[in-house]
Amino acid sequence: MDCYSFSNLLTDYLDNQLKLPVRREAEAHLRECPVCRRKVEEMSALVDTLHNLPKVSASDSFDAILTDKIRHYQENLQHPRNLWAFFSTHSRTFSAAAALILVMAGTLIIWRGYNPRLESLSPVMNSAPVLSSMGSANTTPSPQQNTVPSNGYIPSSMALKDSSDKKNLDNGDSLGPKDFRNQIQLVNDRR
Amino acid sequence: MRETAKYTDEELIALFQKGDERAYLELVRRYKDRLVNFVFRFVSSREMAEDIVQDTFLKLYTSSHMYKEIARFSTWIYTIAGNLAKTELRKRKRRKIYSIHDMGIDDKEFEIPSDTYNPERESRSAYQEKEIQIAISRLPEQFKTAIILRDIQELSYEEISKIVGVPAGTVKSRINRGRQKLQEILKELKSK
Repeated sequence: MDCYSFSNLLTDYLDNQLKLPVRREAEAHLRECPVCRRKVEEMSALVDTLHNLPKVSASDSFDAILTDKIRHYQENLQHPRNLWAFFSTHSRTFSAAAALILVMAGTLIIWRGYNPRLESLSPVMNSAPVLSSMGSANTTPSPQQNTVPSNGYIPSSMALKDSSDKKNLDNGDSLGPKDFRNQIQLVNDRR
Repeated sequence: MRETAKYTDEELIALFQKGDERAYLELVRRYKDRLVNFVFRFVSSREMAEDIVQDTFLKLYTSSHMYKEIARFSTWIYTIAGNLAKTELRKRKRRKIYSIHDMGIDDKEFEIPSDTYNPERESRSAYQEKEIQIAISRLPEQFKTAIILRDIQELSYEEISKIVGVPAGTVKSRINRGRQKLQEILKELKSK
């Protein structure tokens, strides 16, 4: 056995973990090598010192303080004294819930942003209020929306919502005959 | 003799899981000194060590259902205490620019409990207790854990392996390197 091999076995040698044949080899090396002998002596002194370090034990007040901590915990569980104590006791639960909500919200935003099916649905969804404000035959209009004041004033809620709708109206492409009749009726009523 | 004294740790935790508080008290009685000693060597402050060990027992009280019989109770409780001690050390490192790693022999903040001081033993020993404590505090965390569990708490390689969560071979290597490092630090302290 050489010095390098012995230094790899030093811990096992000191802790009596070597099998008998290897231990004999190590001891044979130690008899011949003063450098490794010195290493063993120094390390052995250190390990002995660590083993014999005084044991630090719990103080007399240890149990009383522990009992107080347990009582405090139980009180907090039953009647959270303040919001902060409640949050700090359940901080993990709240953090997990907040993270879950964030993830769900993020997923929903991304999904709505990139899902073509939803995009194709969205104009229909967005146009629903416009249709109702125009008094579409298929919807039940609210009295306010359906009423055209006698002075001819058209409330803003009845106005077209955006420029694309305005454009469609100008072209007259998307307006059916019924819608057109409604518009004429509206103008006549104003007169 | 207390009635609970005849039970093993694992039987006691099983009893406590069923609601027997006497079993809990017996576990506290059995482990408080061992854990305070273990954590004290980690954080170098008795007050903080006691605080951490109390928190360990509070966790035992509130989360005893987390214990499963596949592990020994001692392994489980040492793991909790060790993790709390490491968290506390990291917090302290963040708070203080001047850490305990920078302390020297003459620093008064380095606490040695008065009830452990024994001049006769100190004179027989190759190193002073304070030197050892400073040297331990300067060890990298993984070596520190291995050295404290093996050379101070005198646990087996297998038990340390389960507490730390690494193979026994790695534990052995950490102990070997930890002792060498400790020796280097002690020589450095002596030469100053």
